[in-house]
Amino acid sequence: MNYLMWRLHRNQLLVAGGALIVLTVVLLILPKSDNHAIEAIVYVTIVMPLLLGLFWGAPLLAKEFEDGTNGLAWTQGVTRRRWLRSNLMWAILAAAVWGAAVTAVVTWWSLAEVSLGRSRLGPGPFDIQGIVPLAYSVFAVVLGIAVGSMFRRVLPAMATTLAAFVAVRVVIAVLVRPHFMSPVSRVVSLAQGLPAGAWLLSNPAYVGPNGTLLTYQPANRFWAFQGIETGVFIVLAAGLVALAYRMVLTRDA
Amino acid sequence: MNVRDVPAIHTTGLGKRYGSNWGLQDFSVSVPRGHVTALVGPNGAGKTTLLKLLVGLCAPSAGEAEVFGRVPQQSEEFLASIGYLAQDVPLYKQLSADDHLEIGARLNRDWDAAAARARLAALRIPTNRPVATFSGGQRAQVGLSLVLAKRPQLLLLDEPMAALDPLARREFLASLTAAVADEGLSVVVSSHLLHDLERVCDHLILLAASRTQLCGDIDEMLAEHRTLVGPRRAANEIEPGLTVVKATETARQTRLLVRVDGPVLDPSWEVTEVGLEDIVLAYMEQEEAQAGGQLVELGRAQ
Repeated sequence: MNYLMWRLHRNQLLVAGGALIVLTVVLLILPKSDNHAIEAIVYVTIVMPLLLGLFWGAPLLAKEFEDGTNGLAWTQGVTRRRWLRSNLMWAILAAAVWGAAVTAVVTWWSLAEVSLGRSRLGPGPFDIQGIVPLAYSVFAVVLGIAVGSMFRRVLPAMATTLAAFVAVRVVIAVLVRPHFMSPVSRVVSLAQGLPAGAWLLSNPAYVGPNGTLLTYQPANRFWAFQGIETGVFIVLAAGLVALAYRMVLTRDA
Repeated sequence: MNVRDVPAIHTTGLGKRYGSNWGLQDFSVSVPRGHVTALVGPNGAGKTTLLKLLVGLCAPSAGEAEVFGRVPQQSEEFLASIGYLAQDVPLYKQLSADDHLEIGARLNRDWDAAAARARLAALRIPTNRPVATFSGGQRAQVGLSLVLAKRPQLLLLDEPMAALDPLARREFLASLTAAVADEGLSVVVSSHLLHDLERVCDHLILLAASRTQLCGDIDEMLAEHRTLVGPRRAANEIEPGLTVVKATETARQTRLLVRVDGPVLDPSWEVTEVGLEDIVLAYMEQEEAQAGGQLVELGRAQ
């Protein structure tokens, strides 16, 4: 099975490796003072996992069904269960390694919170550092695989992967993440301002001459938030793996 | 029961439903091992469904199937015993025949790469080019080489010659004939073109409208069917022991294709032997006529 996986998908591996090299080179020649460039890199890095889900995850099984080669693979001397396990294992491993590599490169380049001059917890910087990009990559690729095993056609699988990935990411980042832990509410004087690196959740409310009421997540919760967010996406990915197993093992070829 | 006596294929009441339609219904046959069986029937009769049920790519909705006494399932032992070539010969387009052989070698415990390479070399098929560049005939030959390299006990081929021109078809049949000359291999080949299969096969299953119409040895089938031509007469005047498959009448003559139990006694019939293709067509027409009759009745009920 490992040979089959390698033989079928080595081109994608080369493309993914090439993209990583290009990203590294771009980061090396990019001036760190250029704010637009930094914004662009943030966006590119945020979109990377989605590309992985779209162009690798979604076609992985859907293409086999579309071409009928699942019938070829499933009548060789290995069971469907083993076939699916190899597909999932290698896809998840590749996504995790690639996600980790992209994050490492971006983190090294930005020394994130300093260069971006913003809270590490805020939307944007939070999504491209630490361990969450790895979870996004794994989730995206497993989402693509599960949806592909359900629709069995490449284009509908890609379209659904795109919509579902964006929806889940946005909902969790905007609606769920601010409540991972109870926010801190404090009245601070104007001179004090927001503690360094904190993520401000709502507009400051003027409460009198003493100062303003701030509601925020303190900077030292960065790794706790990374852990919770990663956990959420790994649980979602596990559910999608179960769905893929169900689709492949119980449905007719 | 001796292992040699276990039939290659044994089904009882096998059925497969797609939504509210039956793709195959109440299918009960037994095919002894060592035969080359033609699976014929019109398009949509359930040939592909039957083959998929036999290799475990589909799960039955009713009844059961056994291949060498084993229920088709996802186990390495079962998968090693069957070879399946799907309709349109799906292959990994971007890979070469060599790649496919290498993949097969790694996915199967028993793999005869040397024989496959020798066959492809004899046919002058380049093994290092992507199969996407191949003609339909070359692809079919690669597909056949791959299933044979698996050294299966039962080989199932789904319309392997449907897309081939007459020359490629003849070459494919020659390859198949040479391959099945090996002792022990049981084969089922589906086609809606009986003509191609008649030379290779010694057994026949006729599927029409999702049901079995005929199943048996081709020689016996030929011995059991006769064409009778004689003066025109009513249906109840035909002697018992003759089952009419097809009747055509002109003003003076009645022409029957019948299944006989013994010799035809009525001397007024002129009895002639009948070819396999005519027998098969007669059974298929019969099924069509019945289906047509049902439609008429439905029309009246409304």
